[in-house]
Amino acid sequence: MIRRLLHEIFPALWLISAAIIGHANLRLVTNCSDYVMVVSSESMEPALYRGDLIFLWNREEQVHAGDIPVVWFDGRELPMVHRAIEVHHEIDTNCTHAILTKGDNNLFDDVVLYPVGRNHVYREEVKGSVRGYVPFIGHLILFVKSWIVL
Amino acid sequence: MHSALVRVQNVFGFFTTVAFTVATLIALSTFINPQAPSASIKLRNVQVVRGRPHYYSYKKEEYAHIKFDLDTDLFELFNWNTKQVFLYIKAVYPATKPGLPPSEAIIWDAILPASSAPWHQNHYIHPSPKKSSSAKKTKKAAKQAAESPYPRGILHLENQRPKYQITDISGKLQNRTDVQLELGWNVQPWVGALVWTNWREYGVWQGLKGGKSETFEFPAIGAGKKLDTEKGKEGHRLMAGGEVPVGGDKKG
Repeated sequence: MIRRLLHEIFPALWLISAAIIGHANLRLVTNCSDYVMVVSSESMEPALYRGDLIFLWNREEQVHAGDIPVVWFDGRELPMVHRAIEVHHEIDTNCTHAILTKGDNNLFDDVVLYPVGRNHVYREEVKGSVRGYVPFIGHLILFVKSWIVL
Repeated sequence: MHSALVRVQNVFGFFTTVAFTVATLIALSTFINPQAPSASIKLRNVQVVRGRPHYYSYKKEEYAHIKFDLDTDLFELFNWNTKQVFLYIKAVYPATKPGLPPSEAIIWDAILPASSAPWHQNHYIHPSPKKSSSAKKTKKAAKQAAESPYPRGILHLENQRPKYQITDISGKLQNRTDVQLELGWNVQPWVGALVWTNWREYGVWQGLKGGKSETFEFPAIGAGKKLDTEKGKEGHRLMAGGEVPVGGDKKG
């Protein structure tokens, strides 16, 4: 009896563990703890619309102007996905380089969105850069998220 | 085995598999499209001024206003999987301390849409060549002004004002040497990998020819004449459902 039960649930367990191991491997390969994200704001239109799925890569040490880094400040609930418009290496603090970002759909740069007193993002606060994307699919996830909140 | 639910599951599973395969093929097809981009950038004028260039500048700092000429032929960057090309020019200048990588600051950018992309207010509209600016205010002339006079990816800009006035994190920019203007692009596909400027050859993709200006220096601080910047067409959005800037809701 028990053997039959195990025999039946084994494929499901196998699938779940394969997914978990695949997820852990992808985290290692991309060097990001969140390597897939859904775009939830319109600030990068028309490149990235709300509901697009973006894939991140964090093995490139230096961020260049023109890249799309995902910036996540400590204590913030959500990250920002904007374009790096300035990169400076000569800084007083211990971080490697400082980055200024701006959304393609915003008139001004992002300093108003940074924590008080900060004019730049440090490389350590960049969780990865956008390297690939699939349009529209994220709408499903956003819908499920809003449904769960309700 | 033949219940409605099972049938729906099978159809949905098949749809997902097909969609995934088609998306992968489209994404990979980008890399077999031959391209040979070329561009030339020339510096027209550079001024360094001391003032408050940003809305958040609480103290005076040195900022640079750089005007340039740009000629590009990026027509081949647009293949069937291209949604838009984000084109930008960045000023690259070395650090004062040896051993550090150079600083980069974007002075101008443009969003070039593919013909298959839906209209967006941020799309770049190439200014009309000066010869035809005889101000005929007919409907046809207005319509022509709304469309680029050149094919997509081909730009001819003269004495172009920058969109952004750049500062250094140290607040000092004057008398920096070995500054260079560099063209860059970010091709946004319909699906798949985003690609940036390739300077080297990869298979059928030729590297960018030209695309860098001669080196120049930031002059000493001057009085600053005609420092208008090119106004971008970007809207202003706060992140929907997300962060509000510290200090409350700010709009515009």
